[in-house]
Amino acid sequence: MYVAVKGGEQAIANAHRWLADRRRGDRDRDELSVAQLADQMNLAVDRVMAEASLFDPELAALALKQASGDLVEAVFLLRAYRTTLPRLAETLPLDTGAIRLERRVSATYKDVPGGQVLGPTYDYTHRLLDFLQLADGEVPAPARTEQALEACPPILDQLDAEGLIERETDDGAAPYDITRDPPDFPVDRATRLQMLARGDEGYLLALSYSTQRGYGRNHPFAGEIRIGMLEVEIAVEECDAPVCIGEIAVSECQMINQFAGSRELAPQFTRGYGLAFGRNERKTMAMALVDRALRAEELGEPVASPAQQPEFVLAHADSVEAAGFVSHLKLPHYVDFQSELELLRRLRRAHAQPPTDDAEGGGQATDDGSKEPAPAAPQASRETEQVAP
Amino acid sequence: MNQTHLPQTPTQRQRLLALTSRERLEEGWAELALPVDHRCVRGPETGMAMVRGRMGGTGNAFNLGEMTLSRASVVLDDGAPLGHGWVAGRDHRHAELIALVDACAHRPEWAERIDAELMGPLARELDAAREQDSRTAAATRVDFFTMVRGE
Amino acid sequence: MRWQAFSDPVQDGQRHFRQVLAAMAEPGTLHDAAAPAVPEDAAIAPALWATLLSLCDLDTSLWIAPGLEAGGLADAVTFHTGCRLASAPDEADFALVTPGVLAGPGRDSTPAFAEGSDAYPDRGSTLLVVLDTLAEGGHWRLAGPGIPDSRDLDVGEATPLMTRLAANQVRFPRGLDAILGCGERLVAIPRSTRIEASVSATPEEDRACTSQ
Repeated sequence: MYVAVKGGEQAIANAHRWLADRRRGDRDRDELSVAQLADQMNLAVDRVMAEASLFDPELAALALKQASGDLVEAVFLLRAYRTTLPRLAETLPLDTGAIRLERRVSATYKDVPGGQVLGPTYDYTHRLLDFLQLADGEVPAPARTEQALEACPPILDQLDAEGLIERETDDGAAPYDITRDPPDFPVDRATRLQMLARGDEGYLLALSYSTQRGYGRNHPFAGEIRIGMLEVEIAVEECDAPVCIGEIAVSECQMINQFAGSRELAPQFTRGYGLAFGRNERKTMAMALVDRALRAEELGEPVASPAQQPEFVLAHADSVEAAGFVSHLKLPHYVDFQSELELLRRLRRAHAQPPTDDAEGGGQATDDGSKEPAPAAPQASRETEQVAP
Repeated sequence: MNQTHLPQTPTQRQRLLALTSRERLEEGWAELALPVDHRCVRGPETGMAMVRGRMGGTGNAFNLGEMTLSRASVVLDDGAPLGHGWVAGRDHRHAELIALVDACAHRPEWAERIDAELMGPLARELDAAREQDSRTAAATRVDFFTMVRGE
Repeated sequence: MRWQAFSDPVQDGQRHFRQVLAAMAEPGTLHDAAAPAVPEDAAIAPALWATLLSLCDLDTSLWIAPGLEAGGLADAVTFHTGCRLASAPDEADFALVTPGVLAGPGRDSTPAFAEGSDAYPDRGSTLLVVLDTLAEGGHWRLAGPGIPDSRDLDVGEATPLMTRLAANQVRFPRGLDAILGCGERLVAIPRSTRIEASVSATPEEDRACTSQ
């Protein structure tokens, strides 16, 4: 049965108007500008870009403003906008070795060529609320040295040169694109990485934490974290050489994990990889841990924990999909609910009537001794719902 | 990277102009004051580029996500070869200016002026800005000093 | 660039797309496209050029039959739409052809096009057919979804085309969809349309679409 429901236009229009008022807040205060958000809420903007899978700081800041700071809503807005744009090009794969570094650290070697570069990190802050920020304190310019950074070659190259870590080489395979064709499980690693890169940070963080607590332990070391600006190139018909279209901020994490080996192959470290738009260090670390966990089957490890199960991990990683399906419960389910209510009332009526002697299994007795078949489960599927208005 | 060697190739100019802010480019273009009229034959228009990464930094490609990208192709009055421009983001004018410079640089006498009066200064400014960034990062480089170990 | 794009890519592209939709929804009806002019030496109709501009993008591939690549069409279409050029007809989402191409040089050498699969019939090619004549009436009778009773169509000397499209019925839902273009005029024949040669003869008067 389908019952079309209509109405509520005025209520919705007024709800939107109130929402705009709430978003604006006290009119005696300055309104936030999108440029301010892009600047001063840059980590929120970066997270929105990474999870929306669209790099455009201004649009992400606009989404953040429009969503009153609700990150999941902002991701949804940017994802929706993305669908209105044609794809004009594909970039050459990013060469993360060429990042103009603002941060580069390794937990595996103290002395690395180029050194440990902290960048603008929260790591060594004391996590004490800074009440100066309640006042308008002067912020000094960053310190600068006389000399520029030395070259910082990727740290895992050293292990790779000695054959101590599995080698990553390009066989030229064209990557699957889940924005063009839906993922079809089981999926390959390129597909997994695309899905993890746009996955919800909180979700990936929880899953990666579960591997550390023993649910799919893989003994990780943060081999290298690189954050900075990277030039992007596209190949175009009109030029023989690739053309640079600008720079984007990226974060990368290379995890070094427990050995694997076989009769043919000497033991060597394995890898987990994280890469994200913007300054998203925590996200890339979580991504690298989950990437490694999802390689369990490929590396001959038992698949026993949630983080090692690709379908479970990947099908639930997308905040837009997850929020959409959870939120849809708010839509009218009037008819479904009526049918459940009806069923419940019948069951309760039946329950209130004591069974008689001649009642046999399978049927519910009524008080006049006749048998009545057990009520059938509701026939309507839970997925056929009514949407209004 | 030193970009001040002249003359530049079209892709070198494209790179430098894409890494320059639109405001700065507008200013530099006005200073050149090339007597030219143009019309757009494609765009300016905004779309996306799918950004690809590599597994482990060096392995197979995967799709990381998209970025906004604007492009324009212009033709000058004299019908010389087309000029093209691409730039990250949604600034149509920025893409158009890049295409315009590209189109003008097809004329050798203008190419010389463009490289000397526009590209040269832009390259030096980019180098200087990057040098500043690098020195800021270098200030957060850790100097380890070994504590005296116990006997 | 001698091939002009739409002057307003979004609005004009959507308008033309809407026309193609309408043509597909009512097979055999004539639609006049507001198409950008094509160069003098072009071998394709403006209606089909507008269709290429509307339907092709980075995710689509196009096969151009030998002989239709005139006036720099291939460069123009990749420049304006970003679509890929297919080297073989069965690798193409769209194929620009003439009825003569469908006839093939010999009996068994008509080009093979992608017809999709039963699970993915949408992966079949769409033919963009260049015609010299395209008018109502004529001796090809169309029937099926989107056609009340039947509709007669005059496509000139295009028996190989109509034979090929009539064969869609055999492998349905696999098959080829077609958009026919002559001058500014276009007609669509999706694979759901049944085609037969009607008995009535066509009057020979003034059939060319460009003569009105």
